[in-house]
Amino acid sequence: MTPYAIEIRRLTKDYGPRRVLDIDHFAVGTRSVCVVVGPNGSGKTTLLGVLALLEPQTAGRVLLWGEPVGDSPAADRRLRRRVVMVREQPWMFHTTVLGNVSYGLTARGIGRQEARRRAAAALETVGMAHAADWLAPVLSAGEARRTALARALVVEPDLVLLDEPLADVDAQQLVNVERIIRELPARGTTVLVTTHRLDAAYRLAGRCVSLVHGHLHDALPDNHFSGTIVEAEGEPVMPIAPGCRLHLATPLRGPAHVVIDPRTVILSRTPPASSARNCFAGHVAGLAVEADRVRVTVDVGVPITALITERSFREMRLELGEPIWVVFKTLSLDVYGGKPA
Amino acid sequence: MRWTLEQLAEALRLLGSLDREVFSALALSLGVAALSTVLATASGVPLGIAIGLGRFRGKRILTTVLHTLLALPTVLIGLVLYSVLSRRGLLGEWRLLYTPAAIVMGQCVLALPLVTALALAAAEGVDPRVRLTALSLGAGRWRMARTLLSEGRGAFLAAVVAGFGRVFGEVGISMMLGGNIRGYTRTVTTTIALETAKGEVALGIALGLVLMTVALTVNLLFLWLRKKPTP
Repeated sequence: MTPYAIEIRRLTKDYGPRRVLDIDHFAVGTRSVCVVVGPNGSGKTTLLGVLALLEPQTAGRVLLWGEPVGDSPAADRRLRRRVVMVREQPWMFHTTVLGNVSYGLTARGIGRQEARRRAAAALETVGMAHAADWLAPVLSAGEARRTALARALVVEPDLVLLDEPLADVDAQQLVNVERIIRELPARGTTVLVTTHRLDAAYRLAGRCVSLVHGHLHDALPDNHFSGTIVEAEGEPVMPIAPGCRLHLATPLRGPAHVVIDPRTVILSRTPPASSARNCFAGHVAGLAVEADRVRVTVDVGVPITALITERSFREMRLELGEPIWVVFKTLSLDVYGGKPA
Repeated sequence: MRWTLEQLAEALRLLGSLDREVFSALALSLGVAALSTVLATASGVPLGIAIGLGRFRGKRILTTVLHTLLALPTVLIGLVLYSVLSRRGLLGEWRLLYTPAAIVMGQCVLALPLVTALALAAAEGVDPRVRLTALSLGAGRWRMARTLLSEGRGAFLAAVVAGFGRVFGEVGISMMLGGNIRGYTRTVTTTIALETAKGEVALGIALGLVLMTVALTVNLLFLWLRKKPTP
């Protein structure tokens, strides 16, 4: 039996001539939470749509609990009953909040009374019990998201795909929603969440991956830069802030995304004498301890994150506001998008 | 101008003295229009949804044909069905000509392209998230169809209302296939045509007012259905 709830092999998804997903391999273990972080337009929603069996892939294999998707309509129907997707802007049916939440239950043949009882309990969990009799289309964006979460969870799916579930949720409910998501694996549910909020990503899951321009990146999802690759003094560069440009080793030009693995970013108190092409002076803008590592954010005009060991951190005795240099090689930058020069 | 106003005044006066025959014609008009609308809806709405949501070759051509059929004149429908239903016609043995059933058949043919075209537009107009959300929540085919109808009910009801309006007010089919037989196939519109031909313009106007009042009542009923939230 496969240990994965989700496994993707050489997946591509095209919309006309545009390739929106190009994933070589990606797997999510059962009963775990995985967060996909990426900017708008990176393909997050499309990825969830493919995993929810709502959109067919162009090529490649998608396996859910080891079972291939798209091989037979009967198998797809069976798999679809185990997966629920909550969209970033969820559709609320033109009925009451309670009617919306009981939709999936009645679609599964559960009696109306029982469905309403379970739906009411689910609404209680997300703090929406008071709105059970409201007409759903009048809900605010945050309320609609919480209702949609209840609507998805009430059917007790094996896999929940949440597209930006924390957007527009107020601070008080944010803690509650994050707790619900974190507790889902204990109920036997696998969760794949997309977000563009790094802080939430770290709070929600032990595993975070980044999706940039349709490519999944196993590096921690810091240091995403979007801009235009231009030629300066005979070499490709991407300006990311006034007086700050990334030196790249790529034949690509034009609008593109760059990801720098924070593990490859070196910190130095003195101007480094090295072969690295990317050296920037800045100051320490953030420190976050994560298990045996420390995430150091350096403001060089834009924030650049370095991930260092606790030991290095202790030895360097870094403090907030302190001047510091960040250094990384052009080869540690991954470039997505752009077109050959 | 004066004559027109006189006829209108006379028509209003006649409204209070409409006889049983008029109400019989009205009942028949309502009956055949309702039945043909139901039949056209039962086939046209699923067909419109299937075409609207389907992805298949020739969809554009099919849609164009459907839109062309909207221009079908009632007289042409009447003529074609007359040739089919007349004694020597393809279905002559059924002896349907000059019966209410023949009128229903003709009106169905008239309403079907309209209801289908409007249902198609309605299905295409439903937010794509409705289908995806229902599918993700485990809706089967029937539940999906119910959800689509419910979420786009304003547009689907408009299709039904338009179909009803088209058949309730038509005269060509009723005249050609019904034969305007007193007490049997005489509808409000054929009565208006007959009375006007006899020079009874005021009575024709009075019947027209009755027709419009009934149409308004039916539309108000549809408006209420449209606003009613789904339980």
